[in-house]
Amino acid sequence: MQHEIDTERLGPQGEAMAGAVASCVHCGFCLPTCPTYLVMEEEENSPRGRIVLMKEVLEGKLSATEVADPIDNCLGCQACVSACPSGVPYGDLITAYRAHAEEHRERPAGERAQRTLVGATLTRPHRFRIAARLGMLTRGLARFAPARLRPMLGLLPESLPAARPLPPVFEAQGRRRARVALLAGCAQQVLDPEIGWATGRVLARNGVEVVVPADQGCCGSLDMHTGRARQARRLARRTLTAFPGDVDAVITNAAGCGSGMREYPLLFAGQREEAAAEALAARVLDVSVFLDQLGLAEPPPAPERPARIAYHDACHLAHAQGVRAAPRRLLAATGHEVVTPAEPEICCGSAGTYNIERPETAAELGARKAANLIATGADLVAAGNIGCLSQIRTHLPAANGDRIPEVLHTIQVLDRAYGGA
Amino acid sequence: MAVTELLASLGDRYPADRLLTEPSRLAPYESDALTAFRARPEAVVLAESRDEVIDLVRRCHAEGVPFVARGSGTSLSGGSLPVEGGIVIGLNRLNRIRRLDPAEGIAVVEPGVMNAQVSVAAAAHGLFYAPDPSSQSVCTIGGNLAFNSGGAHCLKYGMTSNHVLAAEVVLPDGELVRLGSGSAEPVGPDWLGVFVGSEGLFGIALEVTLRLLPLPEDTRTVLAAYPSLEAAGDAVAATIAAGILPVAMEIMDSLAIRAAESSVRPGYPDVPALLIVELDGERDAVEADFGRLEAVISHSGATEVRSTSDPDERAMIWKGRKSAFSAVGWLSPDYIVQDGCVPRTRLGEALAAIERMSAEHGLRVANVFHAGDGNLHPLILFDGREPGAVDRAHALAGEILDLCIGLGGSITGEHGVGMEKREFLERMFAPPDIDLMRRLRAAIDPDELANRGKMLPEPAGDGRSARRGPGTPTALAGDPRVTALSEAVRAARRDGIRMLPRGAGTKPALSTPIGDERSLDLSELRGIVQHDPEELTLTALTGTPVAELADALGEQGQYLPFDPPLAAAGATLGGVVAAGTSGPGRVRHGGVRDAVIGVRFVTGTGELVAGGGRVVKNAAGFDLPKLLVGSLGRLGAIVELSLKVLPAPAEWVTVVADLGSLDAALAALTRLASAGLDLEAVDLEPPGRISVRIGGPAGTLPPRAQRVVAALGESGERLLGSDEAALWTGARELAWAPAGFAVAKAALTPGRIAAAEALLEPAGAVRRYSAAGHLCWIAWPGDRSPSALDAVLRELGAGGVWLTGPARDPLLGSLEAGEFGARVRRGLDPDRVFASYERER
Repeated sequence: MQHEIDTERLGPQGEAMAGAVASCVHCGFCLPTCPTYLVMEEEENSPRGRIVLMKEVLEGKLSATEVADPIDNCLGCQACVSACPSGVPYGDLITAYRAHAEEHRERPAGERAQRTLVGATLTRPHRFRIAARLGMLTRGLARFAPARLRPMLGLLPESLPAARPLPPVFEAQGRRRARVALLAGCAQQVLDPEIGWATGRVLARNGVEVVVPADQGCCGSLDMHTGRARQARRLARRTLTAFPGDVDAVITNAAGCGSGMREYPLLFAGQREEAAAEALAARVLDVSVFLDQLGLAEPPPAPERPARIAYHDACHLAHAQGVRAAPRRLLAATGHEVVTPAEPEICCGSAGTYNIERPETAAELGARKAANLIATGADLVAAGNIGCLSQIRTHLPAANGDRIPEVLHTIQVLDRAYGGA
Repeated sequence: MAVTELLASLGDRYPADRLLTEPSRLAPYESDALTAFRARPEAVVLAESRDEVIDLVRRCHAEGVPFVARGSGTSLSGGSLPVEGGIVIGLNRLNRIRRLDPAEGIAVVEPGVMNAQVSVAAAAHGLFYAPDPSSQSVCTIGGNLAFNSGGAHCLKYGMTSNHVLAAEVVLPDGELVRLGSGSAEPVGPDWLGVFVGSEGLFGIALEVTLRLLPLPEDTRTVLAAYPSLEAAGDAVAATIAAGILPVAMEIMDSLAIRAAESSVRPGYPDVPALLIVELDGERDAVEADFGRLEAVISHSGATEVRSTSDPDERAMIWKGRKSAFSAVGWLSPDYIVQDGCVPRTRLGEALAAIERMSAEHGLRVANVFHAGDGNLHPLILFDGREPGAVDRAHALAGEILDLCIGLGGSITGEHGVGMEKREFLERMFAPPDIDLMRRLRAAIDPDELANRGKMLPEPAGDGRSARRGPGTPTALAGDPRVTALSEAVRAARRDGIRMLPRGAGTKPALSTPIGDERSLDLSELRGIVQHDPEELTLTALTGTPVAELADALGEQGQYLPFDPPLAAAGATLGGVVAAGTSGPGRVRHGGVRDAVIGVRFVTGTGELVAGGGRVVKNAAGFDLPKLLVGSLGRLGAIVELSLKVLPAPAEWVTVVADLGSLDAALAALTRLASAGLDLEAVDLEPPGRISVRIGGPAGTLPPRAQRVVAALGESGERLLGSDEAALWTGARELAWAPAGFAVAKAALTPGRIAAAEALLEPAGAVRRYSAAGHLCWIAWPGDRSPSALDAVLRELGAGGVWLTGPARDPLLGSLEAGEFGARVRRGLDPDRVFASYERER
């Protein structure tokens, strides 16, 4: 698409944004895979439409505030990237654009407060635990809470599992085949600390030494994907220094974190951390990809009663990282039947903090996903992202299935197959 | 200000979240998939119901504000570009499949349903919707209808027009009409046929009835690598020459291969040219054809051949091909997708010329094309930031279109004229042809409200230099017979005389003048103008007996797949087309409407005009050839026709079985329809006698005949050779109709056979059902009132037409030509020189 974007004016990410706009040919192949186009049925809420709007803002023809709504509606799921025949790097464009626009747009006070609250709690396990407990205590008063706070309360689980910090290292069992560093995750540690433990155990059992660097915190992906570039860089800088260089891979077990860390080079484009960012990004692998490439040292024992597992493609695995086959192969190795629900490319509505910021759309997508999952008749739902797991758990009960399938992280399914702890 | 008033009135009815007027909400609608054009409308209204669309059109008409209908906005010719000062009516929310009837093989859908959704829904019933534009995952049925969209599989299945059975349409002034009957067999003038492909100029389709086909039992895809485009092109010609009819034949050159590999990585070999051939159909038939195809390919100089029937592998091959346009974005910042057609045999010449032009302009051209039907898609790569590059690219694109016209092809095979090629329409068609299109537009939409500015070029003058060309050259222009014909029509117009064309007079009910009407004898205009066997097309003058055509085709192993009735009786080509008659053998490849690709005819103003062309795929201008099919000589005097022809089966077998009762026979027809068999003809003689004809390569038929027997559930009798041929000759020559009976045909659907029987049998009519029940032949006793048959057909909700017997009003039953038909007739024949459809009523 022709454009008149003055890249000089836009800083180090200007070229990338202009390049993304230029590579879009407006063919519309992205429309049917875009969750917001599916539910809103408006061109402005499609990837192609948003590219036009971003172009207009970058050209100075529209203001960032004018187009804020459709831009904010984007889940950042990147299904459009998978569907795009022209290779438009939409993910890079919207991330960079959001950072750019954040400085040029006005947000209402309530929205600002909500973003601050989310930023200050969700990514810090200690604070998040306190805030969540507080929220759970006051849930009965939810209808008196400000509108912006209500969806946050609604998303809290019935109870929080006990805190269970990961050990500094999981020793490899048998011959050591590899050594990796694990990103422990922030919200995940509060909502479901077992995922980290399962990751460590399954890797260790397969001859992998897993170190859990002590100085790590949030990787910054949530901030990066919502336009808070400065905050994201601060967190990413800490991650860059926390992770050692002498490991075979840096393992993530949350899709959003993995894809975010692989985007570090763009975040630090033109800055002095760029080289370090590239080095780290090149070593980041989702646990499923790493384990699939390494190969299981020994397959888990066959199950007594094979179950049906519906594998849900987390957007930041499937679309952002192109990871689809590896988790399915691992799940199949457990001896269970693995099926794919209808509309596998459509986001479940979790999308980072989307279900807090756009609760109605998120709920519509969550219900749609739950219905598709129930329709598979699966006993169990597996996915590789904590956000998806929470969202799916929230929406399955209302999907009117005969029974509600259990929802687990892919690595937890393997961990169980191996006999667990 | 009309627009201001309109917007104010819309504000009262439509909520702000569906009535978009702010710049930030309009910007995403400024372009479709041709971003070279952009225009900002005054408003976009997202309609949510049929009634809202009607309301919007009526309001626009009342205020004189132009409107553009938009589905997914994927037109590659700028067809859904908004008009400045007008509004966009968004149809994408009208995306429900209203009804899917597997027994009748139809889907009734709203215009905003995406193409691929139809096949997804139909797959549960073992059916699919055949037209498959590359954008099928997103483009909508409404848009497909407006642009008569094609796709890679047109070679065997045809375009959108061949798969639309009915549509409810709101005309540009808000008038509602129903076009088409829902039957595969049209009756009377094909109003629906001319609506399809009218690029939104004739109004908006509100509901569309689509024909679904049984999913092919087997599909094989062959990928062959060649050292040159020419070698790949030769393989295409050799395949056709071998009498194989693949469902698709696609060629990609090295640039296009590279683009696809950069994008979706289909795993194509890195070679100068790649040929994709796909076969589909009944398992045994595909197996037989595949063996023959392998033999052809193995002698064609291919450097690598892969073949697969695995659905995932096939999907990957097609994903690469279908993504190729957009994938070129990986190779070049800007590009133009061109779409033109040449006769298949001139493909090599065209490609060589394009290569030369590409070098002359210093621009790379990637070629992806539907080789099977000569539909080229040169992709012109350029960098818009380079000074002058845009102009050079457009100049090259223009030269390529001129090349297509010069080779006897078309300026668009499937993308339409839209904004992009308006000026080229004037080079492909001569001034009288264009003027006629303008008159049709004016008759239907005098204020030019619907999709203003598309397809038809701006009238010359106003500083615009007309690019007018001579149209496709024809020897007919100076032919004294044609001159005399034009003169006769002009004289009749002057003297207020009504004319009724006549060929051989084999359908006297249609060609015998009544009262002061005068016969216009066209039988002298006879002879084959062009028949190039490799082209699979034939052009002949109107008075040529179809038997003569059949003989000429037979010598080349080809045939007229619509099986023209009354051929032995002397029926002429023009007569068959004007009567719209197809025979029992129309099952496999469609009727006469599906075969006619071009026409030249004399209009009610005495001018010789052309519509369509001589290439099998052509989306330029209104589809006048369709309109003339079934026109009964009342819309103009046909002079010349171009047809699609096909390789004839080498052998035929017919299974005849008596099921004993109508119920048993209908059940057998249902089983037959879902058995995945490729059938040439299926006739029912009530109550229970069914004849099923199959054809194919020598020696391949016995197992297939066995499957027909199994589906019928009755051992029946197998006919071969002359006995077999005689059965169908008798059917097609109406030999079964008793003397003194007048024969009519009616358009039905399989589900209405029982109702038809209940009414026709007691009336003493002799019946025969062809095309599995879509076509009903009725021999009506000479002593019974013709109006009784009219009443019967009305009760059935079916339309019909008299063929033999005394001269009378030709049309029968429920035929809602309505306002649309009246306006088209006004455009073609303003002074009503040709006889009327309704003389007695």
